[in-house]
Amino acid sequence: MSSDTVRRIGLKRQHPRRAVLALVCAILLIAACGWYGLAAFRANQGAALARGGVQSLEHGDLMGAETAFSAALRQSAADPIATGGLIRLYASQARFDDAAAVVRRNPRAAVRIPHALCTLAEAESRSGSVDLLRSSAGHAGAAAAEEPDCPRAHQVAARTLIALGDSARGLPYLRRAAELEPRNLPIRQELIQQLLGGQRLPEAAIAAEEIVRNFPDRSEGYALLGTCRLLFPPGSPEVHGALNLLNRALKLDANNVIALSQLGHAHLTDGRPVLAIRYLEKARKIAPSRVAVLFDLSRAYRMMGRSGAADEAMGVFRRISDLSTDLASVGRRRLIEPDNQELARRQTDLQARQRDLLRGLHGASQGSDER
Amino acid sequence: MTRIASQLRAAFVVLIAGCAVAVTGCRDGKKEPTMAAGGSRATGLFTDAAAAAGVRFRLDNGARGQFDLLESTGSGCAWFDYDNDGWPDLLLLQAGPLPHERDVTAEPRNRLLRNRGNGTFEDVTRGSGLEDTGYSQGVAIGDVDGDHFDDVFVTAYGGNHLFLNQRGSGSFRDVTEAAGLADTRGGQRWGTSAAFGDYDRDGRLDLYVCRYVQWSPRTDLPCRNPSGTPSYCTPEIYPAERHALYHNEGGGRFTDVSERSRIASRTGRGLGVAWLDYDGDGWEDIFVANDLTPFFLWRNNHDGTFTSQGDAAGVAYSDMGSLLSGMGVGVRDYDGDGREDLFVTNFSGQMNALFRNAGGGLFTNATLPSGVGPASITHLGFGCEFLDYHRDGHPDVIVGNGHVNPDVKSYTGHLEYAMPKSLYRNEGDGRFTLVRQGVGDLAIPRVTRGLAIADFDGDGHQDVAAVNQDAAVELLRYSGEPTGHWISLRTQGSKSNPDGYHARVKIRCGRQTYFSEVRSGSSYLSSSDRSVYFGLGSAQRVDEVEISWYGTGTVTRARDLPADRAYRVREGGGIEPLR
Repeated sequence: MSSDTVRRIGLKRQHPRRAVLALVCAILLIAACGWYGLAAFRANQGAALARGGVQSLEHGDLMGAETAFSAALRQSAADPIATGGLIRLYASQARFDDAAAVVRRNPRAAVRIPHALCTLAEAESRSGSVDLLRSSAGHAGAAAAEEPDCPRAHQVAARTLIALGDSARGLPYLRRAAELEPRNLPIRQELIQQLLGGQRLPEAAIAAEEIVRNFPDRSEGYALLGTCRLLFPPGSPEVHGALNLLNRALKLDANNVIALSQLGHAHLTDGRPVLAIRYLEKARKIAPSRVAVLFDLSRAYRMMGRSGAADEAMGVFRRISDLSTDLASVGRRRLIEPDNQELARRQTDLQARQRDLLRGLHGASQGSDER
Repeated sequence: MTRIASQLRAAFVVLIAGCAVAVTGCRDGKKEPTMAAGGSRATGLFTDAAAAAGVRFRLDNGARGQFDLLESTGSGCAWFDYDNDGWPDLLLLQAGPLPHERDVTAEPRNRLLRNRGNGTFEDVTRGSGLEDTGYSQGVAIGDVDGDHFDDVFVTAYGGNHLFLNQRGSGSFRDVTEAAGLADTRGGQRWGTSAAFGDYDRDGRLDLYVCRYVQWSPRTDLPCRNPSGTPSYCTPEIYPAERHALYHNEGGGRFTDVSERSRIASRTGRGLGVAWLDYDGDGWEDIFVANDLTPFFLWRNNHDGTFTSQGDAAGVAYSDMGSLLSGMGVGVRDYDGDGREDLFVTNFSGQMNALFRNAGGGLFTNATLPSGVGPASITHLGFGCEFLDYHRDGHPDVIVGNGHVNPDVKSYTGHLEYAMPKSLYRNEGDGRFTLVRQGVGDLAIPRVTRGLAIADFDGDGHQDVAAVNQDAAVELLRYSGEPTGHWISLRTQGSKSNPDGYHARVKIRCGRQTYFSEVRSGSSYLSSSDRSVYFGLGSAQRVDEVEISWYGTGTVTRARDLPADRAYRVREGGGIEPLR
């Protein structure tokens, strides 16, 4: 502001203090404009760097992407693309401490970025340590709270909490995920599985009824509802009609393995091994590694005096079951001792053996079909 | 921007608070009424008579906040008539302090209580030799030296003990080393339930000892529950153990035949054991409830070896082929078909299992059809026994419950650490009903472990001793309405084993027949009175009693016995009133 301008508006003579104030305001305004301009410039630069990071990622240049994202955050600490990109990048590299540090540095940005926390939580949940599982539950919970309409956030929160043994808190997330995606059958099936695992039979039956309502032409709902109904106390009204539901499922899909195995189980329990074998053998052809089928088939053969067939089915059942048990046991121990290398090797070995066994069983089943 | 952020923060807080309220409200809304709410104490079926009877004992598991796995299993108890006066006496085992915190003291830790025959007990522990048996777990009762006085075997972490009864004097002599039963070779072992039985029919009682896991205070892992606070580890993370079978050579010596008999060919986290002849071939077999390992059913091959038949017989897994967390075992012919069936308690979230003996060496899983499964889903069962509390001739089941983790409610929302006991009434048609109303002191939530039954006051009703974690022992005396008639028979072998274990007792009242084998070891870490007890309903006389002694071919018969009495039956002799 020049002295001529001041003179023209007559401030200097009449109100010298006002003139000083106006001067200060003007300086502040200029500084603010400058600061804003600089911030905008840095934000633009940050955004440009972040975009560069994304491009690096797309080209598989992880190091370049990390450098670009980090530089972007130095330019603009709240840059959403860089924050999200870095969290995802660190999560994919299992650098959970680094990812969590990004979240801590900029929690507001982290929760605003769609699926960034979800991705981190998912990666943490696969890490195999209790501490990271807990961290995962926290991140997934925050993601679900921030994105109440995002089914994935709820699904991750549910799975992590259930893996921690906290199904009381996990189930509501799964239920919400199912509500958000009414046409997503696998989520609904997972919900029923968890409800049954938690012995919450009436709720499982209600969830199965919803599938029947939403998917009247699909066999899955009838099979699951029939399964639930069979688990109610004998003689109770819920049990009534269970076999009809299972048969309905088979009419819609003759290869529905749940319906086949449940019908086999029901007939076995009622002392009709011949009928049971008919369903169970078909179920075994479709799902040769399904332990419940192998177990029931062995019992049914035994009731018919077919000891050789019973021993064979029980043998396969034992191999699968023992391997799963060993794996679960090692997995649980690794949660407590994540750095135990011997356990890690044993886990890898067991996983490979399980893979081979299952591949062999499925291969043999397909081979017998082709013959 | 700041305002939006603070609004978002507020919304988040409200959402979280709402969720918390919703979850809490949901939990409260779904909380099942406990039996305590419906039960009428003191006027119900069972009343705790421990204080009135002079039974004062509190199980201390030694827990000091370290969550050593050992603390979670508790201890057992035994009813046995050590002085042969006809009244069952009571031995209560003490666990803590933990092995590495124990000091040598002359103060009695266990309790041996002599039954005065008037409903009260006298503490005769001091000077008995049974004062302290280490971090004690299970107890088996049997006359191992054939003097017709029952001896005591105690499993304890770090070393088991065999005590010979000094002819009913109230004194017991520790003969563990000479007998070869210490089980200290290869470091400290964790023995749990044990039971005497005669697998080779030589008339001497052999011994099966379950072991749990390979564990020591040094190898205990730091586990946390889902909410992140320290808790007991799941046993899955410790390797399962081989179990032991000892052959009684006579002369006070036992030989470890675990390898030779093939018992050591498999590992399992053993917690409950019972002898039974499941295939009716006249040779005793062995059933073992394992925790998260398949249950064992050892079929006796008649040549000193056993074959694992749990898979083939259908008792190794749940109804759906999944592993169970077996704890206690009850054995009885619950459906009156002349074959003994198996009841097994399990973890919460699983169901107590009922395996019905279908004959031909096969069992059918009656867990769901019988109704015992669905009724037990929220309970974690330990000690269990068949008993006929209303004496109608249909054996009922009692189960002592209690969770493992004291803070289980914090992460499940609906399970409690202390739980009421479960009484399942046998409806006589293959189904059981959980008795919810009027069970008296069974409804008081406890953390029960060992449990054993006997008619300690001679009123003809079976009573229950229950050992509870960090709480007073309960002596649950039947206090319901007088019901049907009864008879009990205590066997004494001469050519067969001295206790008459495994003798097959059949009684007939009109067209009704009842059957049971003689045994003592079953339940969880415990031994019940070996007298065989039958409820008779309205029958005031027993038309015929037939006892087929184990391994000798001897049969004792008696006709037209008055009901409502306890008898003693001698092999090759007669039947006489017990007292």
